[in-house]
Amino acid sequence: MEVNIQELKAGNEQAFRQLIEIYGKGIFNLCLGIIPNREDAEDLTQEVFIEAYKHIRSFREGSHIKTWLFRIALNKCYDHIKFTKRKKRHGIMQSLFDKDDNPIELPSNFAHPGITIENKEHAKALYGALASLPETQHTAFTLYEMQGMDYKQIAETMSVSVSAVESLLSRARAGLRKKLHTYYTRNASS
Amino acid sequence: MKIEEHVDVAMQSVKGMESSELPYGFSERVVGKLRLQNRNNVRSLYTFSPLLKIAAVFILILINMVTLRLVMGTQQVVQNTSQPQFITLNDFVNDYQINDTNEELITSNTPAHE
Repeated sequence: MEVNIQELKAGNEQAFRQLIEIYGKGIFNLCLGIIPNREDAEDLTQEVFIEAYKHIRSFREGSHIKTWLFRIALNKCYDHIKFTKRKKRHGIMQSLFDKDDNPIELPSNFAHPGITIENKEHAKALYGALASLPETQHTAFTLYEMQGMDYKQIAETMSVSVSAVESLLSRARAGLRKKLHTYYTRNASS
Repeated sequence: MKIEEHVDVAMQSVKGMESSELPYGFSERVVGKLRLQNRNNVRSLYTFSPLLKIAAVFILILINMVTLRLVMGTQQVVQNTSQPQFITLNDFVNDYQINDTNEELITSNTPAHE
């Protein structure tokens, strides 16, 4: 099922509703892959479609709408992360007692609906480690491991080459293993 | 469990993740929000933007300054033309065609009815 871009550009409400029905779930799961909280991911998905509606005229018809929507979603998610990090940094107590030697900051409002209870603690640690990675590595890992995209699709979404995706994925895995190792070692000793 | 095993489990924890569904009526909610935003945008067309407000104040000040300058200029011209021109009593009498009796009345300090 495809959406008529011309109809979207003309501001057709029905076409827009169809766009949400086709890509809404994918965008929501992508947001959940980066922000592991159902409510936040839902709000971000909503924002993605509102942004898409506002800027649909700038969409080039040769490109794929899914890729375009995914890019908007990624930008929204990282903006959200930056905003929450900034808010935390301004906490007085945080700035007084914050010791920067903790490799992983566990997500405080972890509520991912797709993760089973037995996996929750490990997933929480993984999400914490992911949040400390550079954005490009975070994105590559999320798109590959959680969205099940292949290298070519990831390359298209991130506007990079396939070899760059391979490199980003391998660095992301190495970085995650290192951070998780430190985290579990510390937890075992304490 | 060894540390490495923990790391492996954590790395695999998101692999078998179920994809989540959006709540029922999500698309309607988004469309509703868009309608609301569009309505607000239409309303905001009738309100003036801050830049327009500043421009209006600036224009008003400019108009006031020009008007003030024009008024001051006119006053100066009026002042120049209304300079005292040393009019003698004879000139005055001739201008208003006053006869001798009237002249006496004018020159004397006593009122006419006395």
